[in-house]
Amino acid sequence: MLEMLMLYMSLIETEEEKVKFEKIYVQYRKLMYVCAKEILRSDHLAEDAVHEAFLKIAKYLDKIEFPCNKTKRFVVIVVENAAKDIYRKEKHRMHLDLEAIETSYHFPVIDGVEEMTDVEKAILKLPLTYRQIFQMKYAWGFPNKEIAQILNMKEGTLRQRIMRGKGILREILKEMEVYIDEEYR
Amino acid sequence: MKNIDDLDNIDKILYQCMPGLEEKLLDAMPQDEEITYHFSDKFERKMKKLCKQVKLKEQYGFPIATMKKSAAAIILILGVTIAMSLSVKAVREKLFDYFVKIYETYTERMY
Repeated sequence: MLEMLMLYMSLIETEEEKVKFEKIYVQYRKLMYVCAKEILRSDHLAEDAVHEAFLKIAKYLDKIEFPCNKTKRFVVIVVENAAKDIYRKEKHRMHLDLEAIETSYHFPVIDGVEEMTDVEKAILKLPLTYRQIFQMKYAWGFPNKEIAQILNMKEGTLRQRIMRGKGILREILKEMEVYIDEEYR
Repeated sequence: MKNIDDLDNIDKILYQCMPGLEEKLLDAMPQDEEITYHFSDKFERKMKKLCKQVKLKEQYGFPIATMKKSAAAIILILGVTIAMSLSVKAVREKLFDYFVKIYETYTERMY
């Protein structure tokens, strides 16, 4: 009798008891859809990207803290990559250039939203692939191993991209004639 | 002035700038209530199924689909093993003899 009661109790689902995955889904699905739509320009494909992203999120669920800004960034990066993967599969039917999307895609659009330093503007000029890596590595402190897993690449490839990204940033800084003074030690 | 030709300096700049930039980007992202989009029924169904699977995995430590597949695999292996064993005449006769012996030993007829 007691066992039955405990079983029924476990089936009762309060708001607090809702599992993490469902909470992440409810909170971020629309944001993720908007990100995917920016890349894929199609409602149907954007929904597919969100679904693919949640399949991946399910794998990393134990590593995700919620609620947390890091989670918000994580889900955005995962859906951006899912959208890029779908784009690669569907590119014969689409008339968009992935390379152009890589460089022009910005989410959120922050033109004039915040005061930005020249270095920040330079970082935003980086292609999406490098921006994502830098966001995870330098802003959130993800270790290389985890970044490589999330972005579906080998650690060696990731290290190469980090080096290449830094090289591209250096060129952008030179092109923009940004001089790094004493504040950046 | 810093020498940006040195990639180590770029590294330091990134460590210094990225957290602030990230904060600005996250603040600029639209809130859920600002986005008015209704997902299709097909998507909602797929996600409901996925949520259910993940929930079961979180509760029991493994997805229910895996449990069903494992049970089906075990049943299949057992079935094939039994069928293959019975296809050998010697094994089949030994097994029948065993059942006959059990029947004769433990069956009592009362009149």
